[in-house]
Amino acid sequence: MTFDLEHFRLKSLDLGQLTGASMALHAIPDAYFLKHTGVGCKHKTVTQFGTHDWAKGVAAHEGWTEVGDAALIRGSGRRVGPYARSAYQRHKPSILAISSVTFLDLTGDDLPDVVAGLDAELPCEVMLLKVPGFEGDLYSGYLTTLVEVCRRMDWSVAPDRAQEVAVLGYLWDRYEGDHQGNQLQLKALLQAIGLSLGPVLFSGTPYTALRDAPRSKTVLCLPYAEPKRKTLQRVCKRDLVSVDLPIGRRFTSQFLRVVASAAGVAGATVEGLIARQETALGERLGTMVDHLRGQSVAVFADLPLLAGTMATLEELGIRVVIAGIRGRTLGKAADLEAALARVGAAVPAGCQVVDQPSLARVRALCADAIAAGTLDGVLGSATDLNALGTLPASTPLRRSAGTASRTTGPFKLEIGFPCRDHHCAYAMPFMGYMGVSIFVQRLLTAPRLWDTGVATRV
Amino acid sequence: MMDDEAFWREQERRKKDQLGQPCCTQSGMSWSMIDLPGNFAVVIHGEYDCVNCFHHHIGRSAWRYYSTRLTEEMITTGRTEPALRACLELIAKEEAPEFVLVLGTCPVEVIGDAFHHVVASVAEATGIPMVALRTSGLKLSSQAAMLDWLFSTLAAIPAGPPVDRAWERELALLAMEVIFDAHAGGGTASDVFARLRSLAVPANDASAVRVNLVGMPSTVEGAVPEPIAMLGAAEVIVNGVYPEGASLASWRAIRHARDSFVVDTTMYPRFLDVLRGQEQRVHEVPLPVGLGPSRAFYETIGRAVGAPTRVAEAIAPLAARAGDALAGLQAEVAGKRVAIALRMHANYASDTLAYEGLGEVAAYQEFGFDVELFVQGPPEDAARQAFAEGLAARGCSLPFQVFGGPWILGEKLQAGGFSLAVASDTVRNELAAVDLPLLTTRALAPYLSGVVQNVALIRQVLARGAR
Repeated sequence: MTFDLEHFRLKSLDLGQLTGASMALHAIPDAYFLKHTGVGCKHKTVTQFGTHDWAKGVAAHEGWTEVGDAALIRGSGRRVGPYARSAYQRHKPSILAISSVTFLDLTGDDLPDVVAGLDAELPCEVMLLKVPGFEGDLYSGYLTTLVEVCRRMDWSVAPDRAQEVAVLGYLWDRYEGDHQGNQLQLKALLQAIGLSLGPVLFSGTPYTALRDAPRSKTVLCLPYAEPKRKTLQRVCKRDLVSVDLPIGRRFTSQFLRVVASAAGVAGATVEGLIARQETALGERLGTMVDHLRGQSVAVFADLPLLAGTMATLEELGIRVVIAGIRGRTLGKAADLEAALARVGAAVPAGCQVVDQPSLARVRALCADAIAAGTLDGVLGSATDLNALGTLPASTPLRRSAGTASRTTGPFKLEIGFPCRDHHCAYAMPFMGYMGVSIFVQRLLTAPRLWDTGVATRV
Repeated sequence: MMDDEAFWREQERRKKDQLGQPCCTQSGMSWSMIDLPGNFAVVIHGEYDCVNCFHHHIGRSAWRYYSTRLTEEMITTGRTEPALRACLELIAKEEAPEFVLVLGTCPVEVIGDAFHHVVASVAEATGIPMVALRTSGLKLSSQAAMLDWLFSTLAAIPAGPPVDRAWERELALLAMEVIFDAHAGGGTASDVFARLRSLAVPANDASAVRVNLVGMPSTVEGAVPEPIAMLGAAEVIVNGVYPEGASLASWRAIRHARDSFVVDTTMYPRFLDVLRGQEQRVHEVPLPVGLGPSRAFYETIGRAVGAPTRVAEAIAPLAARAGDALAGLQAEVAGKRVAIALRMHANYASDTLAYEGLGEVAAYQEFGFDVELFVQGPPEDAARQAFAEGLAARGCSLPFQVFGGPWILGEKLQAGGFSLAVASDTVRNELAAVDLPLLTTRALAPYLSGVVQNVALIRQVLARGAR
């Protein structure tokens, strides 16, 4: 086996399945997550959300079984029962999830049997999450949890809510205004075509309410659930409707068309709505977007968010010169091209598309582009933007010629997970037609990597 | 449901003899190195998810981290050497760092991987200093023991030239000014040269009085301008501030100091042995948060370096200002109660861990608060007794309660009639629910200049609580 150094480097997104499971369970307020792990693994969950979700902490509904070397030698599986019972008595969750980690799995303890026993014993649902740390990523951990929660639901019931649309695979990572705003957008989009929004897995909705999802006639499968679409179809006993995230004008319109078609809404109704909304959006943005047109940016995001963001940037006349796909499980460059093609967008000619870039690569690609005077902005998670923080402020000065607009360094915009500086105290969707307006607002007021007071574009 | 009493009784016997949260040494060291500037590499030898027990989005050196990304097959067959060897050789060839730290993880510890032989072999072949540490989460080490291990490792890597923190700060400020002026199109060549010439020569005179400051509280700048200025005025050169504010260069220069001033010397037996082995004198200083502790901090240094009068004269104006600010607040605070929560943090911060988390207590008492401690832990009698003994051993006779976890803290504090809580940020929802103002641990600014800021902060927080 041969390796290159990039293989070993810390990645833009190296978060694993345990973090993904924690994210999903954070999005279910009446869930409790018991981690059968070592002490450091606690940081893979609670700590990773500390800077991201300022509205609600994770710690209060998570616990761990305090495994150390002595417990390992004596068989650590015996610890799970007392901790699970104690967690139930203290928190009374509707659903209790239990996960393990590789070094405990290596000992051969029969954790599935322990969990099955607890499921029979405790008044709440108890489920095992297999989220090993040597494979998968944040998204597959989230998806594993989604599948297991769906398994707990009664999908044999008749879908008696004909106009209701349930959603699988909404990536809810915090209780802040961006996701609150997205939920309002989804609700409004569906209402505008005569439908209603049913349970969204996951969306900060309690498990007790999520269990009504099988009663919705239409069930959407968002891209975050797509890798397990076949499994989910078997579990749910339904034809799931695959649809891209409604990010940007075209993806939002496409979302409406796909959902309407699946739910039997008349095409004319939908097209009329789309025409009105797109016109209104154009009028709302007006000449504001002239200040953005012609800029070049780098974007680092998971594939669904990247596709939506790139399509939106194309609509705004902003050129993507570097596209980094974060994560391992949601697709690669070919999937990005396919996603964009579904709305008539494309990867711009000359754009470098990089799969799962390391932080060193994020840093090097952006440094080169800044030095060459070809980068006006960087959109990415706090992890990506942090890697740029130590680039010398002299970087843009090293190029031989160029316009003054770029000498303050690129603007930076936090998107995705985790955020450090971007927080939303009110509804700030990034989905739906309103999401485009909010995105433009953020672009217009984005801070610069270094701000010396030199005028940017006027 | 089953009765677990026997299990929990056994758990009680595992009581820690320390008040701090236990830690994974890999997590702690990774976390502690990530904001360290310098040309080094950290390799986490394990499955890739082991890199997630620390933040990647805070700190200047995340991009210098690597994982050997062991697969299930590698772990179960024990064939980990090719990946580790390749990783280290590629780092040496492509990055040529000054130092490589290789950290073990739970999976490699469970399979008994003798990876230190591989590290030693690549270090010898490449000539790059590489250190392998058998870290993991299995030992449930204390955070202080982890820091002691890391600091003793860093202090022992090959020495570099002396550094002068005051000079480094001046250079950084000057460089930024010159760059920004050039960036903005201002300044002539003669201006630039004049400013560069104004920079003093760094103090690398071996006869100079050089001191290390260890375990200092963090500041916004990550550096410590006040002690540098105060001690500089007394002709004492700050050789290095550890761990926050340190760089790889300053760790490599740590042996150039004559004296090390350490907050809570009991935390670092191994590290202090290394310093003493480098013929340094080690002195205990209080955590410089609050007027009294900050004054004692400076006075201790002044006496130890034979310059008590010069140091006293240097700090006098700041100390007077701090005293005035404090006197104004004490009457407003009198009779108010503050709850300080302990044993909630796994942040690996030396100042939080100092004196078992009690380092800031003196500052709150100085404000005039009646302090009650809340220790997170098992509420059983045996645990309470262990905590009582731990506090008494620190000379702390303050009243305390034990609470089971974050979910119950709000309720407990509401019943206690407190005006303010000092705790981990993880309980913000619980305290907001009972409308109790929260100041997170480490919210107080350090040193004499911090006292004035802290007085303003306390006023703001109490005013918020009164609304």
